[in-house]
Amino acid sequence: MHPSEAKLMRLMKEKQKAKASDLSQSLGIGKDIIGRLAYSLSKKNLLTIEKVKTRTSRLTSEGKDVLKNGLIEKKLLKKLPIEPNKLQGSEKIALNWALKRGWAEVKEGKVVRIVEKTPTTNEEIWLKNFKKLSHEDSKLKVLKKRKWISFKEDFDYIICLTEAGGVKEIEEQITQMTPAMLVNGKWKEKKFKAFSPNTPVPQIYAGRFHPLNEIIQKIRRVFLEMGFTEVEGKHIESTFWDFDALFVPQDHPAREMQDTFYMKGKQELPELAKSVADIHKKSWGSWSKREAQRQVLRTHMTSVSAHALSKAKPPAKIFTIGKVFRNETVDYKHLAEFHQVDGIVFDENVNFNNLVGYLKDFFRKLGFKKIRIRPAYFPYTEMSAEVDVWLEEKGTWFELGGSGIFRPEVVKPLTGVDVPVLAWGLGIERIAMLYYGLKDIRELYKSNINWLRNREVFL
Amino acid sequence: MIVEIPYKELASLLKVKASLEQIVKALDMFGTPVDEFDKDILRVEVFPNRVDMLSPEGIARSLDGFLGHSVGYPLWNLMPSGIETVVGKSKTRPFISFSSVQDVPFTEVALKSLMQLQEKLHVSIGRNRRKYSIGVYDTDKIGKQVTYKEMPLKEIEFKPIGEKSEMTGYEILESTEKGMDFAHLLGDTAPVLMDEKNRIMAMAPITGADYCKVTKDTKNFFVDSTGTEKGTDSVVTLITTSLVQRGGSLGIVVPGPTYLPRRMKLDQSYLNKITGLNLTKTKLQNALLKMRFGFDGDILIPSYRFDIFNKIDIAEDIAIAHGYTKFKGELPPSYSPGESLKVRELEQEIRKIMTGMKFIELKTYMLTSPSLLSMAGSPTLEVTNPKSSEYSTLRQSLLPGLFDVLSINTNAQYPHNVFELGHIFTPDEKLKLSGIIAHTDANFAEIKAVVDRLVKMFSIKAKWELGNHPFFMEGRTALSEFGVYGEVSPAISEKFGVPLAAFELNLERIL
Repeated sequence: MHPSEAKLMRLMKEKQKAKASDLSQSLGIGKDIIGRLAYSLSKKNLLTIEKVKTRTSRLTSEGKDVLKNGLIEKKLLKKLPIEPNKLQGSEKIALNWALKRGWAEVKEGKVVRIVEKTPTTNEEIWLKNFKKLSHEDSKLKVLKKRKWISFKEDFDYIICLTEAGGVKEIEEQITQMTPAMLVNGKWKEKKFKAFSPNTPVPQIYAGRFHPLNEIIQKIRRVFLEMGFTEVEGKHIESTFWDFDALFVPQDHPAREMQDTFYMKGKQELPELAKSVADIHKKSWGSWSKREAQRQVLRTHMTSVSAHALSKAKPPAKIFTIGKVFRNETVDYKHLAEFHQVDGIVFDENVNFNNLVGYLKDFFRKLGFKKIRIRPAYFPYTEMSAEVDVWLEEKGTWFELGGSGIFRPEVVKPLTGVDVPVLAWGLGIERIAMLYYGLKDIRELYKSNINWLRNREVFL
Repeated sequence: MIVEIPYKELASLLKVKASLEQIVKALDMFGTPVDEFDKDILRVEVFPNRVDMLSPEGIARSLDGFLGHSVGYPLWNLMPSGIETVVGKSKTRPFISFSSVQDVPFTEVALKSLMQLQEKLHVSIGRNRRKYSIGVYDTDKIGKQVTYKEMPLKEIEFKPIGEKSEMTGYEILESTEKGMDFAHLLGDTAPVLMDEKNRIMAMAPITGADYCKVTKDTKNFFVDSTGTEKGTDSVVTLITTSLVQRGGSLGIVVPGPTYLPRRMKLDQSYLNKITGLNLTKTKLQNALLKMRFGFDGDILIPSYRFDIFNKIDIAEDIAIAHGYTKFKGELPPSYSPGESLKVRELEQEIRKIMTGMKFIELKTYMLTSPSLLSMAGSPTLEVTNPKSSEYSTLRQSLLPGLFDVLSINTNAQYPHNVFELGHIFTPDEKLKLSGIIAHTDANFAEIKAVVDRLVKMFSIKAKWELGNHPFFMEGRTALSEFGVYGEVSPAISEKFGVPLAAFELNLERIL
């Protein structure tokens, strides 16, 4: 038995029957808690509990005034005789009572007193003793009618000891173990209350990673397991590295202001810019150094791959993860900035079938057992392929990444050699949307603390 | 770029019999995926490398080959057009090509497709008519001679398509829809085309004349493309080879495309090596024919395929013909040790320490609004062309983003312990770690304990001194070369109704 239950049972053995409000005073615990304890004990047939409505009466300010200064009709008698129209406020009510009681009457347009002494009325006696009156007593209603008292509705519990309760031996059960009990060995004599695993307890809020970070770390592990080396780059990039080095013509629509964020200032070009310029002039007719020096917020992580490729010697396997930026109107499908991952394999002996092999391995490690590739187009790859993953639970294909082999027009100016470079990339936020079933991509950046605290782990 | 293809029209143009489902699947595996479809309209995505498929005629031509019905180089009837041209100098659009198509069975639906093709080409390879523009005319209305020359706008006078009366060049630029859209491409002069009676047929790159416009009853078509760069031959080719797919013959005009195929050697070993296939010469040839290349010992590349730069482009067509789904995937037997970036590992260690101290990691935008940063006081790094001011400035501190997050989460149970690790721009990129504690008793000592713990884990001896910082409260702000921490200025925290304590550390100094 819980210590509080034990206290209540001991008191009930004395009283047999009691109101929770009275028990509350003697035990120093709230009425509601008494009710809850008694309810739990009633489940064990030790007590019965019945909820009852109660009514308490309280003096109003008018009631207090009567107790202090006497009945208003008695006060009025002292002012008589007087013309009725000179009476004000409550004196008019007092007049009615005085007339009704036969203490005064109206004669020749004036109110005059007709008794010498006034008796002590029943109402006065009742009011003095209103607390002793039972709730049902009609005398209280009279007092209420004169607005001397007001009622307050409430409830209480009537608690009775049952027969079983009368004979039950009360033994106290310990809820919280204390260091003292452990030290002095008292724990051996104590009974400990059993706890229900179904009782709610206060929640713990753990510190957690952001879901996007969890996905990023997972992808990093996958690439490292596959033997790739991690690289990084700057968020502010020259259009040269973001576009020109990737064989995107200088008048390509993707480079226009409505798709790409431009920044003030310009960047120096590397020495190999000359080879890139040559290939542009040959293929697209023109190339401007000034255009290539402009600064943008990188639009894809392939710009970082291009940097890395220009420093690499085959064979090399490289990956990078970071934020990219698009001058999009932000809506449920589009963000102005999001994370991308890009991986490349720079190797004399690789081919398109190997790309498919890497993609299968990569996506399998991310939890997608079945993938499919479809022909696609990117300015810097040929062959190009869209990667779809099979969603078992939805029974559909879902486009999750782009891939291909870098064009010789990209590889040769950057590396000096014509060696295949397999490449693929994907957006991290798309995986997060898929995993968490989000309908609106902005949810990932709304940072709803409740969601971040309670969301499932990413596996 | 999405084109709308009427299914009935496509089915009637196809020589091969195929169901709607077969067509959709074939287009997906050809590299022109179907975005949406019903029994009336297919919405097909055409990538910039296959602008020859921006019309039902172009799609039918490719699918006939891909589905194995009409393979190989498209057989066109080539005839002399009998049209003479006089090409004068044009300073605004120096490049021009012509061609014609004769005896085309034409319809109302075909007219719509032609208009769509012309418009999509204007937008894509035409770069909104700046680079190239296209005109198509009814040959029977213009006679046997066409003149191209530059004329002052005030001397130009004709009745444009869709207008009620004759207009001058200026009036066209000032009061017609197309004129207003593209006036920026012209100065005080415009290139014009005139017919044998010296009537103005068109003012490039704006509009054509009403009298010679193409209608559903047109049989013979005259096509021109004007441009600011070379390549107008290809643009004309895209229109005429699409039209002739319906029937009729191509009529050559000078200057203009000759429709002769380009030639390339078939490099069997290269194609097999780069694709990872092992195809015989015959199989390679069959794959090429399926993609509507010709073969006579050399690969013959149809003139509408100007996406073919070199042999890697041939390899892609081989792979598509072979079927992308047939590549089973194979890993090369090479070994390479993976290696992570040290800074990424350290970042993650810091995140672990922060979550260990019960902080929740946040990710906020790097692009933000200037108002959110105004309190930081230092100059901001703005993009030159934002679509919305909400995403127009690169953040200089992580704290405003975190304040913003807390301000929309006041209904979540306190305490709120949040942090972010990320880049800021001042204007150089810097790596920062920021955290905020928000609850009824958040104070200097609590945030100091967090910072002390972090700093100790990296064996750093920091000297903190009282200082001033716009985000923090006077007398409760600690500064050092490693960053700042303290109680957040009540001017900020009053909006939250609970005290905030925060820090921002320069990770460059720590890692």
